[in-house]
Amino acid sequence: MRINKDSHVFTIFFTFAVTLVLVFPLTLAFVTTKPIADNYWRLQHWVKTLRSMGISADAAHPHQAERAYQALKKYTVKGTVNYDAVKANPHSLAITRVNDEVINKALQDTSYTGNLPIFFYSTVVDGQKRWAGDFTGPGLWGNVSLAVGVNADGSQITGVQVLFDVETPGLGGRIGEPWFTGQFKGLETSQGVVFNPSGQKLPNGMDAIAGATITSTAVRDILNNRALILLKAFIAQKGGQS
Amino acid sequence: MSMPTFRQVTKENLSVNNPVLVQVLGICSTLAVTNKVVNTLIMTVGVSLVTAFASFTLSWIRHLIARRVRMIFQVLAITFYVVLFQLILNAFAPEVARSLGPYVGLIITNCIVMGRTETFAPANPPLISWWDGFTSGIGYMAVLVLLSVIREPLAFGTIADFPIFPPQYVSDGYNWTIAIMAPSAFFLVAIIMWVFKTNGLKKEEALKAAKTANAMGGAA
Repeated sequence: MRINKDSHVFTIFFTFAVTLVLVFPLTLAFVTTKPIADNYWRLQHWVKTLRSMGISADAAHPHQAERAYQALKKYTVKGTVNYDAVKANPHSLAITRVNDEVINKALQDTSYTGNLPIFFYSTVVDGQKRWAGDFTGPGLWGNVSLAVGVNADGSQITGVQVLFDVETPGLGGRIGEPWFTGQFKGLETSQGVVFNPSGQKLPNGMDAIAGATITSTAVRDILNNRALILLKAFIAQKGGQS
Repeated sequence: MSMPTFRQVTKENLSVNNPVLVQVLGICSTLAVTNKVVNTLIMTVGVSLVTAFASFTLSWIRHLIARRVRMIFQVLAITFYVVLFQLILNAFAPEVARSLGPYVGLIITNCIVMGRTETFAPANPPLISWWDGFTSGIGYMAVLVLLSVIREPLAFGTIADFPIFPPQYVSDGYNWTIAIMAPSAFFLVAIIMWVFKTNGLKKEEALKAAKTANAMGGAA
């Protein structure tokens, strides 16, 4: 049988057929690999949230990390956040408790986009309260999601970990490396975080990555404009409770 | 025109018609991913496999594709393999997927993949199209790995994350920031092209001279 490949009917039929044939194995590959990717993302989330609070955790010991993570008190924000209103009045932020299932569901939905909802965590380390949260903002290519922890009165950062990013490999992508995330430990929060002038280390200063201005600025802005404002409100509301 | 042989295709793609040095294709990723050897290797393996299988697929159904809609099929086939590659990386090599960030998805618009599926695959049988795609990727890999082997030590003091300079090289700021950034690859590619073409030209001239000498010898 001779096929007229230039006929409209055949072109339409054949395009549909090829699309179907290609989409089917892709769906299958997606469905089979998604749980594996989700596990990795969830484990990273446990480990990094704990580390941001100054609790040691290691992806090589997933069960320990899971137990330590389950012991945290977890909260989320109701509705959308008006940052200006929260800045003026910390009690205007509506915070409610959540359980692990809600967080797991949110992690499943965001394993490829990093667009995490805001979650707060509180726990006690060495008799001192610790507070942390997950905060997401725009980077250069996509979302940058950070776990940020602060000490009992919120005056110092206890740790920053990068939960998710798709920044430029070798440039902005280096925000996940320990030399970068390690510099936030102990920074003062009252004036917000600023870039260090060259050759100096300020008590609230971070070093930007050479050649990755936009990503470095994104990290600074997520810290100043989201994380520190919301963590302050979180402590104002929950800090009185033991 | 006679059918190209596997040997001809290999020679074309690796040297005389190298996709980066001669056709000047795939330059965006050449500039972007070559500051780390490991990233470069995985990226170029991805491009080689995607080009090979997309060429194979498109060549296999080439008699059924109307010319006016060929690009739809090219993008369909290329996207299929890229997404598959990305899903596999995400599941089994999440660290690598993370460090390559957006570049895996951008293989879809890599000029080499588009170029081979547009020019070679529609005119040749599937197996040699696979080989053409694969060797194009290897030609691209050769140039990119060379670049990354020069850039990574200058930028981070390491090769494939293995330290070759003392740690003070980076911590005391002796490393070359320019080598981290894309523009350094511009200079390096230009230098490599220059050397490559100068050598190529010399060979061509020698060949021409030999032919003329032969012809004259025949006449005399």
